[in-house]
Amino acid sequence: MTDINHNFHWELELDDGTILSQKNKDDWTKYDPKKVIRASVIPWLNDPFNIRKRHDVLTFPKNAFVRRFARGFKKSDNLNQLHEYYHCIVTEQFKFYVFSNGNTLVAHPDSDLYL
Amino acid sequence: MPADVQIHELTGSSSGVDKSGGTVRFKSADETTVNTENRMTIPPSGVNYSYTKQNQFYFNTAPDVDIQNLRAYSDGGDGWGAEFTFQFDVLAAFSSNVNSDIAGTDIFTKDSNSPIDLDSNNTGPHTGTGYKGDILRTQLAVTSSATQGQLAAETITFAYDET
Repeated sequence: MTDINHNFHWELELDDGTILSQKNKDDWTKYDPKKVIRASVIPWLNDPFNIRKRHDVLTFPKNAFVRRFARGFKKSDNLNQLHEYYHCIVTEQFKFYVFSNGNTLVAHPDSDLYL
Repeated sequence: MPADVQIHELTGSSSGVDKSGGTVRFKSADETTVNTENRMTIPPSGVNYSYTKQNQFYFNTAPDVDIQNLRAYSDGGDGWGAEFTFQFDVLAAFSSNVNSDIAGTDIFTKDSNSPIDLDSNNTGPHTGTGYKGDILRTQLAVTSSATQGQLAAETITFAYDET
């Protein structure tokens, strides 16, 4: 069974044109958050109805990229499934969340979201 | 691809049972089976303590980069009442399960606003496969004023950040 952590993947574009992605993890040695100009959360291709949309966060001088991560939640009543798995892009000005169902949330950069 | 992260109930150092699809049941014996054998008894006086349960993150497949911020928390609402205490502590390594008081912290004081840090001893970032982070040790205590029967389940959430 495909779990919800396969609904989206991430991609980062550096200022020299390098693309770092979940599908190209060997390039991770080139990762430098100061060089990130675009951070994206992209549906995997297994979404035949195209329900989930791509989201791009572009950085600019007063809103620099800080980091990205995904957060998984497992609950003890059914530990073989992820309850939620969201992606989060952190910039100086905000956190941008993309939930596994495609919903999004913009929050303060100091916020921390445990579900 | 994202890592396949599991939660295991430990039976020894770096060995345990995948609790996928299952639950953790507090019992009067040191075993992982979820059934009605070895039930806890209500003491005529004082407190009875279950055998401890030890749960730890297990990476069945490795993350693309790393995983950190291993956390656990309850819903913050004690559905079992004052006759029961659901307590926990955090261990850096496996310790034999005991049915004596671990003198832990009430897990219902740890909700999503103040989750339990499970990589404070075995610190991240965590890479590769296998058992990772600290061990959440839990125990149920029953007082003499409890009413017999099976309690409704309480839910513990395990969370992790994947890079």
